[in-house]
Amino acid sequence: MMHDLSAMPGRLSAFLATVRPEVSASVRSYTLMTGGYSRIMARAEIDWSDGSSQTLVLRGDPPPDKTMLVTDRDAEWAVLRGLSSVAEIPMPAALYYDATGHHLGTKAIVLEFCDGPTLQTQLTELVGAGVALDDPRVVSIRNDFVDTIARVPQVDLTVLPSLAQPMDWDSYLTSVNNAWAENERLLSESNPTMRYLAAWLNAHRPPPMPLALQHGDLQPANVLVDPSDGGHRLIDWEYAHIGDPREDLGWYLTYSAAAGPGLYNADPEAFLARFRDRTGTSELQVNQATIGYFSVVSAVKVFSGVVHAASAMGDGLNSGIMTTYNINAATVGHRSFVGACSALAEPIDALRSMHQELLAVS
Amino acid sequence: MIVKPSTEQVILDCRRELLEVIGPEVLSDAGKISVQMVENVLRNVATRAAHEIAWMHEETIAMESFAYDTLRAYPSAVTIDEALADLQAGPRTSLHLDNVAAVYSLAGEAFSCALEVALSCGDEVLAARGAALLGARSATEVQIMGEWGFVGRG
Repeated sequence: MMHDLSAMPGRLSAFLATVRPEVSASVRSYTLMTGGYSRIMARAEIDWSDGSSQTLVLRGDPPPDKTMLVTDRDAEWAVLRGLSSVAEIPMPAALYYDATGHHLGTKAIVLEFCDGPTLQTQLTELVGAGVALDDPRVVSIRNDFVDTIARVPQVDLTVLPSLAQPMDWDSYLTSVNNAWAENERLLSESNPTMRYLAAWLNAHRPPPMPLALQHGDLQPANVLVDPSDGGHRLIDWEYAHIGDPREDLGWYLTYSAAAGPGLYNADPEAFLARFRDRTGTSELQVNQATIGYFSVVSAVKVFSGVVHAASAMGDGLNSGIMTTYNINAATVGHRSFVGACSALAEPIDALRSMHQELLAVS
Repeated sequence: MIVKPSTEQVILDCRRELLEVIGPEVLSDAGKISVQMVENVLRNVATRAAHEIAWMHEETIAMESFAYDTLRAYPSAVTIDEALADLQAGPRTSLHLDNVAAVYSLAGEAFSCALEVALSCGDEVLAARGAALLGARSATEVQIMGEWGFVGRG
């Protein structure tokens, strides 16, 4: 329904009348936005009867047979509302929600439009113009990005009562590691890499950390840059959860391997030193080996979504170029994850031993 | 049946038509992104069409061999035993693509069970051999993928 450019202005106008009954809205324009892989996004210019104008962004679900990644709009809306009171996490204001899809044809969140490029666009243009990754301009972008990543795990979790609170770190890690095998068993064909990852991750555990908020898809394409002050606004919270605070770093490592330029790989030690400094974490907890480990752990939700979509297509339940095109993302994942396991076994086991020795001493 | 040009050649010719004739006529951003994605998928399936039956057959042999070796080392591993029985009952003599894929999937299940046993038992030799097989599987996938990057993300 959100793709219907002729019907949507009228439907949106009617919806806005229910959430702001004191004024009426005229939808001056309605256009689909590109850039997102999971949800349908549209931009609407609104003229309100009180004389003001506003640009809104609609974020809704694609039709079930065109869905590549399945996530819950109710859960995302609850997170957005909870985070709206957290000054340390700037983001576009979450304004309205069609919780049933009655008005907009699908469950859809209506957000404030924020002008400005994504951090991905900014980086791609800079590096595409020949600027080196160690250039002070790129280093400055990297530092700002690390600071943004570091703010997320420091959010007071009491503002997010809707998020599931795991019992403890060990049981959380077991459940998320096992998700690799559980998701594989739902596919219409076997995937030995996913089964291997579950077994390997459980057999090689890093030192634990206190659980914290994680964005779940923290990458430069989900960071809007305010053109006035360069400030970051985080978008796309559909995978937000309480988890290990190294997951967002690990996910960025995975993501940037497929969609560079990679700010982490340019200077991993500088990247991690800044994160440790901003979060007060130790080198035993946050280092290249543990981030490599969590690059695999953190990928299970998005990776499983990609292969489930392909599997559903194999069963005749799904279609769409996004699904077939992203089978290549699974290929990138397989290569990265198996390579990571081979490289990480010894350092992760050594870190775990150091942690246990420290525990014994204390 | 006419087999020249090959399926791979036919698909690649469709890709050329897409890039040279259809693509320049597409003006919207969403349409341009779709063209880039379809171009990529056509390259992927051209490679698959040329090689996938042989690649699945070769990998099936390697995975089955690993599962039998693991079962010999750990004879009480019921999951491997059952998965290998399912594999034996599969449509192994057929070269139709659906049947080759079904056998490949059954071999993958036996291989998965064997990997789980090797890792849970701390068997470093078998675990390393299993990881090498996964590496070879990944190398095949990379051949299919070719040049690839996210399009339309920004």
